[in-house]
Amino acid sequence: MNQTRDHNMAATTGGVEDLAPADPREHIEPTEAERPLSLWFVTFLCVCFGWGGYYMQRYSADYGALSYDENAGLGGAKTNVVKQVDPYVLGRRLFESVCARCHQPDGQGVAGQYPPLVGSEWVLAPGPARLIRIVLDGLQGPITVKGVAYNNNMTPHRDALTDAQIAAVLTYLRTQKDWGHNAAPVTPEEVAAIRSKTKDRAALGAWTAAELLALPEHEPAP
Amino acid sequence: MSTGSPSILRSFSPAYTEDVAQQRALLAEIDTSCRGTLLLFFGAAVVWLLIGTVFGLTASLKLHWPNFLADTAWLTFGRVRPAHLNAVAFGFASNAALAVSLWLLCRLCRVPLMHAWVANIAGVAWNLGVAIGIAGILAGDSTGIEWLEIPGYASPLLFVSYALIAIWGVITFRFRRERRLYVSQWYLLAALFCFPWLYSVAQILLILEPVRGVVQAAVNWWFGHNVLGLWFTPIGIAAIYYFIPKVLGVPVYKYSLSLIGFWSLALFYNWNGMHHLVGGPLPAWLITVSIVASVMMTIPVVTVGLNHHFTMWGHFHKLKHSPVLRFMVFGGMSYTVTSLHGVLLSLRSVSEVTHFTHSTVAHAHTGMYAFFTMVMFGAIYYIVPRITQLAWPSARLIRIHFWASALGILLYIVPLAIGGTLQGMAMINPDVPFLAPDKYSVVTMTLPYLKVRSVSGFIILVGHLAFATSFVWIVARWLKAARHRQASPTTSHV
Amino acid sequence: MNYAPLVFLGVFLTLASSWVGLVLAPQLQLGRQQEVKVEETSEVYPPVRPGLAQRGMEVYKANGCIYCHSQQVRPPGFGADIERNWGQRRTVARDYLHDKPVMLGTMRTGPDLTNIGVRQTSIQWHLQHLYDPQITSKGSIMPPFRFLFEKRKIGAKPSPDALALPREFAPEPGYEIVPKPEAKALVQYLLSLKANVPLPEAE
Repeated sequence: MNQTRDHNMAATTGGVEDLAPADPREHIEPTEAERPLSLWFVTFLCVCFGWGGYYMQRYSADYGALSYDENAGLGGAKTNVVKQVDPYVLGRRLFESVCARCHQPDGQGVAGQYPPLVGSEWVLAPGPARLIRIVLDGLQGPITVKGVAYNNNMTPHRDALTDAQIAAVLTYLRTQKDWGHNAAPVTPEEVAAIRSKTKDRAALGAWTAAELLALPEHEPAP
Repeated sequence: MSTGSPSILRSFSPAYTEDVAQQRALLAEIDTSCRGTLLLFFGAAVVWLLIGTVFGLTASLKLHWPNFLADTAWLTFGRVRPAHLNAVAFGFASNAALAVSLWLLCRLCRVPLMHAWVANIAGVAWNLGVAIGIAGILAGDSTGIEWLEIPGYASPLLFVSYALIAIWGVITFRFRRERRLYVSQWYLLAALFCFPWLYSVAQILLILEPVRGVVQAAVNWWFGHNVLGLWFTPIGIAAIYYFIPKVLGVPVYKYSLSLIGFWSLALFYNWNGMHHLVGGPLPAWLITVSIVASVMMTIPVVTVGLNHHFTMWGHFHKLKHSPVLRFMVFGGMSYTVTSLHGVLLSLRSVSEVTHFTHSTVAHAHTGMYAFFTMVMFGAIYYIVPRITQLAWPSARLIRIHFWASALGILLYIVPLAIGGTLQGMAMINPDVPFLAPDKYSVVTMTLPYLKVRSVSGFIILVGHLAFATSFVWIVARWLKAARHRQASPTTSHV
Repeated sequence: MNYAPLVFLGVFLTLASSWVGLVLAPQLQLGRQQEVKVEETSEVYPPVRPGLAQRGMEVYKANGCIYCHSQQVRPPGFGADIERNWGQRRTVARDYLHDKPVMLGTMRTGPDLTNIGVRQTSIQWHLQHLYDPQITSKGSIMPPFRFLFEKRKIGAKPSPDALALPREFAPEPGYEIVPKPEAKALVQYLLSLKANVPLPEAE
């Protein structure tokens, strides 16, 4: 038994007796040596504390409960400014984050569920009156797109998107070169006009295809 | 007898003027007194390690293979992932932490474990609580609060268990024979004292009588971060401070660094919590104070790192022969890496990119696994032979364990930290779609890194199986030897 | 000298300091915040969630949705949360007044959900997405939640709740997929997630 144990000890410890059962070679309990602190270390400590104090007082605004912006009152604040963006880029981003969830990133929709946008006569109609209404207040019931029938609900976006955003995303859809689209862009003013004209639509529910087809393609002048 | 320790040994304590043989006899007596309790805790730790690793691997696979085991409610990702966290943190890591703390305190206080039955009951209660808690999480009863998911019907068991251990710890400490406090003892006492406070505050303010609105988030992350900073980290550092000088037979490099390291950790670490909420719905000053505290953590990290490194200085060649040293040094270096990474991640300009990405997962595993778990492995490899008076049966299994764990965790952390950072850069670029299957999108670009992480999980599992095999083997041998001794009680020592 | 009491005192004071700073101070500053009146309506913001949405919150919590989805919008200029249309403004403390627990989340494996009730109001879409995310979001790594639905033999006529599914996801003929109460509650919870009322402190 002892022989096996010694053999195992040698095998597992290879000379340093840390894995062996307590035996005469174990070192006595650890201790700590006394040495003075180096000057470099003390300097390092001072630098840390200095930085900490500076950062704390600079980025705490007024320590107020409603002060969320750490750059407030510092002048040239970088927060709270959304960079101005080319409308085409804005439209593409909105398409990817909003429309693509149903109409898919490639714009082809889901068979039997969500109609495609690519080559859709609803998207490419010369006047955007019906299209703007669909985005503002949604669409329900049967609709034919590119000869295929669909019957679903589209979310209204009246509260979710501003006039500029709706104009940007519709312009993107109507001028998407990868899809071969070349229809006229949509302006925020056109969207605003229809938004105010249809401001009571929400209570009546989403549009149906029949209702929209009864409307003229071009919005009549006020 | 002392192996060339170059500096002054503190010798004003009676223990050091005693006969060395007498001291060794006392240490052997202490080890034996701890045996049953430690084997209970270590055994539970091994079981939870395997369970937790399997949960973790399952969760990892699900992230790039969403249909994997998807049709059972209790195995959905959102339940397996917290089951993994609780199994490894409160199952494996806390059992190991409690056991190693008990043993270190006994040794450093120079008293055998008294009233072991108290600690044993605590151990059973703790593991019962964790088991019921994890079953509850899988059943859908999670509290929804990160790091505190264990449902309310299991947490009292944890609390009772913990209270027993804490009381036991205070009593042992009160009756210690060694008046002088070694650095490890400061850390251990801090950990044992802080954890029940953290846990009860969290339970009261988040579950029993929840505070209003977003103050819950502040309490949540004060608690969550302190589990890492005031429970696991001090015990890990205490272990390194004990085992490295112990194995080498040299004193710790500088006492003043030990002092500064401890007090700066105590002062700054527990203010870090709000760095989990940078950019979040809290007043600016609250976020700023945590960022400052996080950056100030460079003080304890550099201090402790220097202390450990210079203690090792001139002895690095011994890593070739000592598995315990390998685990400890790997753990110690990982502590430095994870903390400096954490300092970086807390800065607003970095958090803007890395928050919400997989790089924070990499960071968490650097701390919990590469640092804490590896240190616990080293401690277990040192302690078990001493309490059982047997050697580990196979050097090869230990080698397999170390290399599988070390290489596995490196393969986990490095790709995921890189991938997560790239994911963050994609996420803050609004021209990169969030999900577009055939293009570069935030979701699709993470897939290769997630797959590599699953591979690393398999490697880590191999290491854990090697470890479990060694443990079961040595305990089996000990049980056989114990039966032998019962049958023929002629051998002198136990 | 017996340093032990000193160590205890020191540790106690340091932990107490952070408890005061990170737990007590926020509670004093934010603990009594109230709702605000929404202009031109009789509503308050944030509203209390109706019963079914509250049950849906329990489903969200039980299934660990927070481990992939966050519910906080970061300020403009800090990340791209606003540009990704996850909100028109950042979220602030007031947005979470009635939440128990507050599920801010720490991962965006999936998109932020603070305003999902604003940008996706279609119940059908949510049910399809939960049943199998591949239906609406090809390439998604979100797991399917088929266990929140029931496969039933079609009776005399199809159930009004039955899911409209594309052919490759639909069950065999004669069967329909119907959402369980948990699925419906979860969708109501998601539809209740809105933080688009302007607040002065969010400017």
